[in-house]
Amino acid sequence: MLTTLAISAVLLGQMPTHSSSLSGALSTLKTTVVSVNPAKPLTQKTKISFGKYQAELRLPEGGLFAGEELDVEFRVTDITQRDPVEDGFKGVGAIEATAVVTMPSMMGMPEVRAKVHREGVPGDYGMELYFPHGGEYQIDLSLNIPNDGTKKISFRVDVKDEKPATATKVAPYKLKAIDWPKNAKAGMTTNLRLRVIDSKTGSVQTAFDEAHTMRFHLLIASKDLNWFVHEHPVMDPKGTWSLPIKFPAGTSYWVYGDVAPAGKGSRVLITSVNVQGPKPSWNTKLTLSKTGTDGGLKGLLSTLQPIEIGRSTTIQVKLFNAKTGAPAGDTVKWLGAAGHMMIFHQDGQTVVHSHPAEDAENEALAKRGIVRFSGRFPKPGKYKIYAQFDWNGKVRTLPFTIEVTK
Amino acid sequence: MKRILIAILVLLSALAFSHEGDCPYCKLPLVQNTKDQDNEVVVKFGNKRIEYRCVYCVFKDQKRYKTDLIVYAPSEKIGEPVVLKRTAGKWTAPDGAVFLNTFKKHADCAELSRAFSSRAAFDKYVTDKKLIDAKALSLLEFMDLVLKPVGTDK
Repeated sequence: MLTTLAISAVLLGQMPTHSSSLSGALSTLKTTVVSVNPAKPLTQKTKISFGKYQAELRLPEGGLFAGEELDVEFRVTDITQRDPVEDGFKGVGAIEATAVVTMPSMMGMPEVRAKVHREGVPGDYGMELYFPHGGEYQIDLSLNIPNDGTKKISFRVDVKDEKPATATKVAPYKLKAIDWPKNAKAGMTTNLRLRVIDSKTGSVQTAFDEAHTMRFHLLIASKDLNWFVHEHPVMDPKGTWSLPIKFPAGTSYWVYGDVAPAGKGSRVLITSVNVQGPKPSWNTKLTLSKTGTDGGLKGLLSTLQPIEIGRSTTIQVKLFNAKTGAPAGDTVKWLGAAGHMMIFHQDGQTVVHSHPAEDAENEALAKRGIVRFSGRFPKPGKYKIYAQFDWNGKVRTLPFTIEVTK
Repeated sequence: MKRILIAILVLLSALAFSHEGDCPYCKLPLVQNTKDQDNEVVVKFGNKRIEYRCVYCVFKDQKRYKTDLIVYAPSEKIGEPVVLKRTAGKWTAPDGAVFLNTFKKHADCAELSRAFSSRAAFDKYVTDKKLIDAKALSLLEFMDLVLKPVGTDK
């Protein structure tokens, strides 16, 4: 049954260790994603000929993985000359290059402006890359070649989901809850203050790119994942994001910051907070459900392909007016997208924030009450999914739960 | 064996993040993209590549490598290093290549132990840097100086 249910999540795999008490524990990130086009198979493109030149990307033997900072090299050669030292064509040195990394299938995802440097061997160049999650990426290079002007080329690469966590791995950025009171109580408004910390320097990040009209998408879910909010805090000049919030029950909450540090691309950073008070009144078990309803809007979740672990899948939500049963083709864009989908693995550590592709086909579908997202499920387990739509003047949040098996 | 392992580890770290490493000889950070120096010094053998801070460090460390070597030493021109070769134990350099080696402490080695494609380039560099008594060395003279150091080593 599950194999016919699709979802796509992206996930990133590292499981941070955290204390049994979640308070203050800061786990590192997992994933992000943004708008996703229903997946088309990628043709990896790592060798490009342009005029008298050739560029070849040197991928690591085991391929590229999300969640790792790495230096990926490429070599630019002049195919009209042999190299006097190296085998093959002559390396073209002294190129000034810039690189921009995007996910063509995920419109709206902030681009990554990767640093490019010359290596010591003429013709060899390196790019400092970080892929926040698995998927298909495009690397657009602008090469200013001495005496020959600027050439633009594009590599396409497939990035695998994050490797299992290692004790030594450190995410480039962390999310930290600042001065969260130990006695924070359910039902009382408390100011949630967050900072994004650069792991290398320890400094507070203050520059962010916008993703879907916002610089910070704050997602909060109870540890059981059955309570959820999507908010947008504000940042002070020192980089502290604040949001007054009233938690509904005494339990632990995952706090996800979906952010794009300037030029570094989107990612979801995770921390958690504890709240005291009466236990949750809601069902704290993940009960499988492909139907979700909120404020008179009903959604049916399905997938267009069987779910395959680690592969992109198109997730479809058919929307109806719950009272009349008529398709709800009158949703309007919220935060620049026809819908928002958050996908959480049961562990709370693997998260995806996805949006529908903004093309004519998907816009036409939306007018018929059909919204399609894409994502990947990196591992088996139950996934809690929240799909949000602006309908009849309010944002409706439709909950679903599916299970993905091997 | 230990040295081979070290070399492999150095190589692996170089592949992971090639420009944030330290010189395997003097242990100081590699230098890249400065006003005067395009890049670190690269030693290649087979498909392996090891990066050093300066030409001096390469020659002091060369014994660890048993194969033929190619050395890319950054010159005065961006993207056009002076290429040195060690073939069957014998070192060669391009015609006209000139070397500088005047550093007193390794913090200065990247700036003061280096190669130039010509005497003119060397002269310009020492003039710009106001290096008094800097001598333009041939490869042989450079090697003699490096392999018989007079108080310049660490």
